[in-house]
Amino acid sequence: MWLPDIDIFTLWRWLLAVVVTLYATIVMVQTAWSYYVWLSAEDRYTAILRRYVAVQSLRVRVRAFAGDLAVCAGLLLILTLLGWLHWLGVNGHL
Amino acid sequence: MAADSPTPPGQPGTLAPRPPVPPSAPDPDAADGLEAWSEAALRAEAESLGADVADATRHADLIAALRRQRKAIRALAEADLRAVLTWAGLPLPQVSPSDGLAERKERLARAVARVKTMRFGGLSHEGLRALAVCRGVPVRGDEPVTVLVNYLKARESLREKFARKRRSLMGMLAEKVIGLTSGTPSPSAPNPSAPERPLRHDIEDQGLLAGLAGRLRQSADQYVQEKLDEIEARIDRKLDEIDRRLSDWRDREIANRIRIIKITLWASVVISALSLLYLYIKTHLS
Repeated sequence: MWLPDIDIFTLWRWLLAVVVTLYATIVMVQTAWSYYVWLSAEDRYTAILRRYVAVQSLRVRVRAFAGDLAVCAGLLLILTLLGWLHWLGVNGHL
Repeated sequence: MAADSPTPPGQPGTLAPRPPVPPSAPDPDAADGLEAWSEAALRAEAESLGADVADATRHADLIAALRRQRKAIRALAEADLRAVLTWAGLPLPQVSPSDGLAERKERLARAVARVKTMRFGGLSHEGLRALAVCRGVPVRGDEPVTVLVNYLKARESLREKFARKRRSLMGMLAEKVIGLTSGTPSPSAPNPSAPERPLRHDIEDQGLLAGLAGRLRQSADQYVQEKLDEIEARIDRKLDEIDRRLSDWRDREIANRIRIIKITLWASVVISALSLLYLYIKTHLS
């Protein structure tokens, strides 16, 4: 019986990456669009709320989240490094 | 033809050419139309502006007195009239932006003419002069304070003086009975910086009932103002609390989102490491 030469682990990995990335992108765009539509209404109270949201956004202190953001940056760096090593392995340089 | 030709100056029987007359300011008395007013209307208008028309019996005398009073009011400074009202603790009358300076001054003068007090302490020299004008005292403008005060006292009739003294006595009695003394100024008063007047002075100027009613109204206004201030302070505190809670909620929400991103990145790194290990084993051991 002929079976295609497919690595199950690679297939699962690629499927996971594609599905999760698409899902996260769609949900994020949907949420951002609903917020945009809601906050761009012309009535007085929405205008007040829009300004309040803008003020609250400007008052965010990034320094309070600096530790978590640094960890995220480090993890992204490690992920990039692993991806590069993986690329080397696939091309026979590892 | 002779009428068209210019006549040389200096010839007998002819007129020299006159220089052009500069345009003068329009006389406000010329178009006031007071001649058409009745005597009663003229008297009421003159008395509301503080003019002395007790001796004016003829229509022409009333018109002359009213014009004289209006002219005297126009000569006053608006700030002096306002200063008198502020000194007396009276609210400034509402003026429309379309009103001219003369209309504004007349409106202020009507309010100043209603100030009946004979206690002039704390009033500036200019304010005293404005008060004298609005009580019908013919002032020149350079009189010292003592002269102005004497004019104002002389303007008060014996009957008015007796009535004022009677009201003052009643005020003193009422103050003793009620137990009110001068205290802190009311924040709701038109001029909160001015010290509160004793009750006997109010009664002396306005009478027993009007003085007591004014004091009651002032106390009620003060109470309402204090309550409104309390409500405003409570609303401000609530708004600050809401703002603080929203800021905390925003910070917590951002921290949660970053934590989720961090967990996702950790999972991705672990899976990538496993994948790399798998690739290494598959390449080198199989």
